[in-house]
Amino acid sequence: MAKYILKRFVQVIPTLFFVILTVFLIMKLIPGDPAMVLLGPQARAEDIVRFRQQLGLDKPILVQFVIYLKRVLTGDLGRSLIYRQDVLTLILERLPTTVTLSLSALFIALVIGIPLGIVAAMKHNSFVDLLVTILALIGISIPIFWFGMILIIVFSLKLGWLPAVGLGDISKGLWDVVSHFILPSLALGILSTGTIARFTRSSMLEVLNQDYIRTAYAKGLKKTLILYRHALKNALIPVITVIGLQLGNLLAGAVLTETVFALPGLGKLMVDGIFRRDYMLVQGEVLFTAIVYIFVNLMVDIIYAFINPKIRQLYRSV
Amino acid sequence: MKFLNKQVIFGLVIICVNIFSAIFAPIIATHPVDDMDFLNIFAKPNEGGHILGTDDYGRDIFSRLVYGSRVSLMVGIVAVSIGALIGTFLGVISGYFGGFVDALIMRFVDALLSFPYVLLAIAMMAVLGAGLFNAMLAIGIVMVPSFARVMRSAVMNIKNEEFVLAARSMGASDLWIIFQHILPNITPVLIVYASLNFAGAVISEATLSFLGLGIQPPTPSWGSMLSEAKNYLQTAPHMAIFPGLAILITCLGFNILGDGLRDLLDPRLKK
Amino acid sequence: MKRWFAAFLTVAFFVTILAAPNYDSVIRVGSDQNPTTMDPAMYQDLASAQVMRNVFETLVAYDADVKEIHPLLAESWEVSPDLKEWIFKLRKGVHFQKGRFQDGREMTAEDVKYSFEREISISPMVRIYMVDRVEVLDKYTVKIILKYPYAPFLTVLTDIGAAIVPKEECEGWKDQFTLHPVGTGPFKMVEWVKDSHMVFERNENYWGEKPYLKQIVYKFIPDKSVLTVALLSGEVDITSDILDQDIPKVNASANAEAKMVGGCNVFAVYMNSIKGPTTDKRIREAFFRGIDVEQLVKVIFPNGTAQAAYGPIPTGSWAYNPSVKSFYTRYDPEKAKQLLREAGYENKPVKLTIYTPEDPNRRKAAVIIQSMLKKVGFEIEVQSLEWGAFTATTSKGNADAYTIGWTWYPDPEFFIFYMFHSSRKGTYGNGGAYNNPEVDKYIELGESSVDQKQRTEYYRKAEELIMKDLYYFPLWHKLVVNGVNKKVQGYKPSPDMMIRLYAPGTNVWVEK
Repeated sequence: MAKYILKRFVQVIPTLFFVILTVFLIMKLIPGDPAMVLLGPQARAEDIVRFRQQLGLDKPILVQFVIYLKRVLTGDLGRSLIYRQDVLTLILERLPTTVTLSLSALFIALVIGIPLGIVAAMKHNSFVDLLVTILALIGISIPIFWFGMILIIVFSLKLGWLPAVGLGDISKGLWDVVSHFILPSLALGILSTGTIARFTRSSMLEVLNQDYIRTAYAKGLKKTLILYRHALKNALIPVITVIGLQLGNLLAGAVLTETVFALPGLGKLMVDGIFRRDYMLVQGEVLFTAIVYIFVNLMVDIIYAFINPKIRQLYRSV
Repeated sequence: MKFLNKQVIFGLVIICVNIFSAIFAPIIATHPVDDMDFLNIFAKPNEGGHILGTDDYGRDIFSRLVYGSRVSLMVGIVAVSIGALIGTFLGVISGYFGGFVDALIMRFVDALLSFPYVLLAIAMMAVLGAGLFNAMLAIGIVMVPSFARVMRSAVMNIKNEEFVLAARSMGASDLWIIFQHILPNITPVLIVYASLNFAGAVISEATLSFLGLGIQPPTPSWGSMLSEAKNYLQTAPHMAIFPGLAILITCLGFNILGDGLRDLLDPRLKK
Repeated sequence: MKRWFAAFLTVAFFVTILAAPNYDSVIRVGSDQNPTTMDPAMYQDLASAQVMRNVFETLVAYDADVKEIHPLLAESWEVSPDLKEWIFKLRKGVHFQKGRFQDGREMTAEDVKYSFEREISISPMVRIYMVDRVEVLDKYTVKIILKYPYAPFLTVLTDIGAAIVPKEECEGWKDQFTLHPVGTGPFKMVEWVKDSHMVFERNENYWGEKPYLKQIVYKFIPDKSVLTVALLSGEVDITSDILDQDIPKVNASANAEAKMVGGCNVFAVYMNSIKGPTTDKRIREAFFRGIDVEQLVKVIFPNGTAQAAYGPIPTGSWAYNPSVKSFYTRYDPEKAKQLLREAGYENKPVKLTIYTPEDPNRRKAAVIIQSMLKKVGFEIEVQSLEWGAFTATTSKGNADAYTIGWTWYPDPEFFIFYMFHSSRKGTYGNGGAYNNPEVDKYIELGESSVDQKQRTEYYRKAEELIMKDLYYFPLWHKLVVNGVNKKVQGYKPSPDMMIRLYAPGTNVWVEK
């Protein structure tokens, strides 16, 4: 087990190197001079030349990369060109919004998705099963940003129940903050809800077909007991891995949700960064999210290996 | 089994309607696609002879939806092909040869998978420039890592099967084994995965167009229609509703088909 | 009768009380733009400039109409006949706000010298680039020497980039000065939550007329429709903009109104003068003849928040020419077809690519032009690019045509020079690489004379020549639109889009 964990950790190093290299190259390949974009249309040629020198953009690309890499290794993500502040500070400022959004979306997905999946599996091949299957498919087929727009039209513009966009104001009470997160979380959560419902259903079906469950039935144990004691526990273990993978989807979806609902989160920060050629910000943020993503999945894998003896055995032999 | 077949057929029907409207768009559309009726901007559904109303230029929304299916299908086909081709290539090399090549490719794939795909697509579009072809290329490239990973594990599953080992012991070349034994055996996985990614490609195009990076005006795409609609949610919600429904139904079709195919073709779930 | 009179008096009394200015108003401003910095030397955007005006002051300032320049930190000034040496007499008894590194000391000529030198050395975009050096003559007198004669220098000095800052605070806070801004202005910054809100409170030690407003709260709401919703629900008192489609809703409401004024901006299609089909004047004329600009503006702004433009000088500028239409090449589709035939495009269309950024209005204009010109024999491709790629392509003269938007000071120099002087080739302003020596001559005359009437003549002459060359197809001048709650008193919108709550001649308050 220790060997497995160590191996996984070692693998993270080249992955992160590729992350840094890729995003660095992409930002260099994007046409448009950062100095020109940042200084705006009224800038004079002299200002642009000087700004380029200040930023070190006049140096060869390889030199720029080495300088950047050295910086990152000391834990310094550099300074944003738009905001003129530490990239890490900016990220930490926006982090709570995105984390709240993602976690509440995930919460919605789990609370709705898992029960739906279980019910569908238990009533396999019935009308309920079909309904859940179709609902789950709709969940994964719906464009998040469109669903967000529809939610705004219905609940905010037509019914006037919930605010359309923006963050709440804590000075107006907790409800103001919470109410601003409801529609975005729903919009973002629907994709994961569909995925989790489907996964729970198939995982549950697989377990219900296992020999030990059949034996339990044969022994005349009560149906609900079998379900809770044996089936549910074993069926939900694989769902944990899906949660890890959903994190990537949620982060990606947050980009769109934050755009539609005008939430000042990481996604919006990054999109603005790309469009405004704030390459320091984009590089820093991509690296940050990549680290989060990689480590969350690493944790999920390790936890999974701990819970599931079969997998543990498998890794021992590797 | 009956249920599964119904599912595949249902998916196919939706897709066929799509293909049909893409091919016969000029016949189905009620108005010329770029015709601007300046006296009838923001017409509501069924107003002034427009079944689904008009947009902010006074263009017929129904006709634009019909033409928009061309873009969606094309994006689906081209982007998935790009992703599948490059992804399979990398996955097969990685899975078959293993070792350092495998480690290198997989770490790169891990890196790409670890950043949010929407951002990767946006950044690719920023590099390539807007336009339909570039959008398809960007979406295809973004799909490469996940294809590579799935194909790699498919290859790993069969590369130690007896018939492969037998072929090798008889002195068959790697190339011959790959083409003769590996590829035919991983094709079902490829088909299933490709059909599931079709919907993803359609949504990605809509997303890029929504962010203003996709197709160039005035060519109608469902995503660009939504992008225009977002400024008029209050005054003209019908502009947002119909293109979104079109995307939803199309993606639903492909997902249903992909699901059905997986149940049919994937040996693990066959039992 | 007596009773009626008493009742009338009582009512009148309360009306007077309610309507009278009060010194404890709080105003909430909703803005769709988000400030990025509070350091005058570092700013690049209007949103930052606007909020900085509360804390910092300049030597001279515009009034809310942006027509006349008033003394602010400078009481009076003189300029040498060659327009190179400017001497400013500073106001006495102006104190900085208290900060960590100084205790509200008096502002002097040394501060002007320091502030200008700081701007020149650290600003990424030196607003006062024409300044050669600053000399302190005595405690309250400062001489600014320019590199060359520059008539619109006072206009440049109204820019917040030329604000006077205290040395101790700038050096003390360094990078963090943006978070702890200190100036001589009427308000102090007390809170700034990025992307969310900002709070300013009255500076009780302010040297000038006491502001009625006790507190200003800026709320940042990026979506303009939501901004209007916030205005109508009373959540904010003034909004930075109202979308054209929301105008009827605001007009119908009981508690708010839309206030508009002609803006200092122009939107246009700039055609390439060095390569491609637009180098042929007949094709350019056909372009003008083929587009019904009034119809186009009516489709994009059905509720009238923009006016069709016929020349580059905006309606909000003092040099705007009311008879600009007299030298405009009017819509005439038949003539357009004929011109294209003459140019040799009998059976084939003229192919042209118009580049546009992600601004929905400009993109819409390009698509409508595409459709209008198709009828007279053009085949136009619209390339809608994100900003970085757009400026990279268009600045270098690589576009057949591009949609340009230009917003700046009301002085015509900032439109005519920046978009049409041959020395501006290779920048976004003159991406058409326009070069007409006669236009250059008039611009230079305009730069080097002081008399505003004389200058107006020069710039109008240049404008006429530009319009006759047909490279620049004006689209519209956007009106500046502010949503204003009816309780807000003494406010009027400014042509430069800045929300001025306290400025020469303006002191806003809110009815209770």
